[in-house]
Amino acid sequence: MRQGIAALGTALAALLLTGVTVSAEESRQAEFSPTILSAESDSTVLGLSYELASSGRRNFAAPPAPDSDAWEDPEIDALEWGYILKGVLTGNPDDNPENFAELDLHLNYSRLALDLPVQEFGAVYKYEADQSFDNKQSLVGLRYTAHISRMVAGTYRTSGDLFVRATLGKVSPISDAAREALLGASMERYNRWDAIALYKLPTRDWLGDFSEDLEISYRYFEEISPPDAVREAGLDSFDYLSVVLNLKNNLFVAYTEGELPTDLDEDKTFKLGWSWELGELVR
Amino acid sequence: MSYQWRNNLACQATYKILSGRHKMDQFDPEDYPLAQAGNLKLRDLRFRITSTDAFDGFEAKQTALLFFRALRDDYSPRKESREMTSNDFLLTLVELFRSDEKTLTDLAATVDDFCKFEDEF
Repeated sequence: MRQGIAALGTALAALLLTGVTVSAEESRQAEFSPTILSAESDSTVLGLSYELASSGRRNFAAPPAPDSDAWEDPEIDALEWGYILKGVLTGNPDDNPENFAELDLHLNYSRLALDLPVQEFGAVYKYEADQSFDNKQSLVGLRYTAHISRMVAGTYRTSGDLFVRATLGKVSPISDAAREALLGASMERYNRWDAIALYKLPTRDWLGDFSEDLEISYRYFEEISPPDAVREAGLDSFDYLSVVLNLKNNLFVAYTEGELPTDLDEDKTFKLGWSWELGELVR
Repeated sequence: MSYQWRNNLACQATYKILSGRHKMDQFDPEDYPLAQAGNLKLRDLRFRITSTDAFDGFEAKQTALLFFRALRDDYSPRKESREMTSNDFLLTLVELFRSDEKTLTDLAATVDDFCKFEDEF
């Protein structure tokens, strides 16, 4: 874990000192959204989802402006970095059907051009824990993200957007009660891949103007070459399905099902909620 | 003095590109008529992923590309100065669309900073 952080830190320092960059931007944000969570096995609870983020970018390979006042095609190569801290809190962690908190520290190469799918690729360090921090682990790895749109002919709007993000990395368990029970106190690092695919589909044409869009996402985690005991206990893979119908005025209806690596209690969750931001209060 | 949402070509272009059914269709003009749209936050537009944090604002990039293309192709603005590059303009747009605080007025101000429209040629 320390090696991973050091590698990312070194890369970041080198990036900040490099002379080929032409500009840098930084941004920060904080968001808190109250949600009502209702687990299949529990009564309804009020939760607070949170996200704190900071990001920056340095651009390189920036050509000089052509001697013209017409806008040329953009073509961008950039290195981007940042962190994101996010999760869902409830009064009692045992009541939390989305018992998961995550710190994500990343360094990406990103390319942007008019006729290319938007993509980025880079290194990531993640710290994953449940709300009570009883179970926690870190991951150092590589990550790829892409966005592919289906355009409506003759317009600049999309009729569907597919987002994909895949990560391959080495997991270092720090505290993991389930693995510890199977493998003993000396837990070894292991390789894992995970991927999330999200499809965003406008719904106004077939559901009516009260609706906005449907977001369907599926997330899958799998340990590579797990010990037999882990496989037999069903701890080698996890998946998580989310279906969210967004309505007008920031209202939404959501259904989620599945389990995450630090939250082994599989639950079906139905949520009704709304969201707003309190970012200025925490800056 | 901060930029004012008004009936100029930068604000009109920003509004029509984002709201038009044949443009980007990011909000309904009936909900936000032109005169009242300046305070609409970009985070409330339809391109945003709301169901998961897993993509960390990644969708802002494609939205910025589409906005740039619509602006350039449908309004044919010129650069405010020849030293400006499309890359700088596009990256500024990405940051705006990624922001949780910026509004249509902020977007129109950026368009006005970078672009010269036909009434200014």
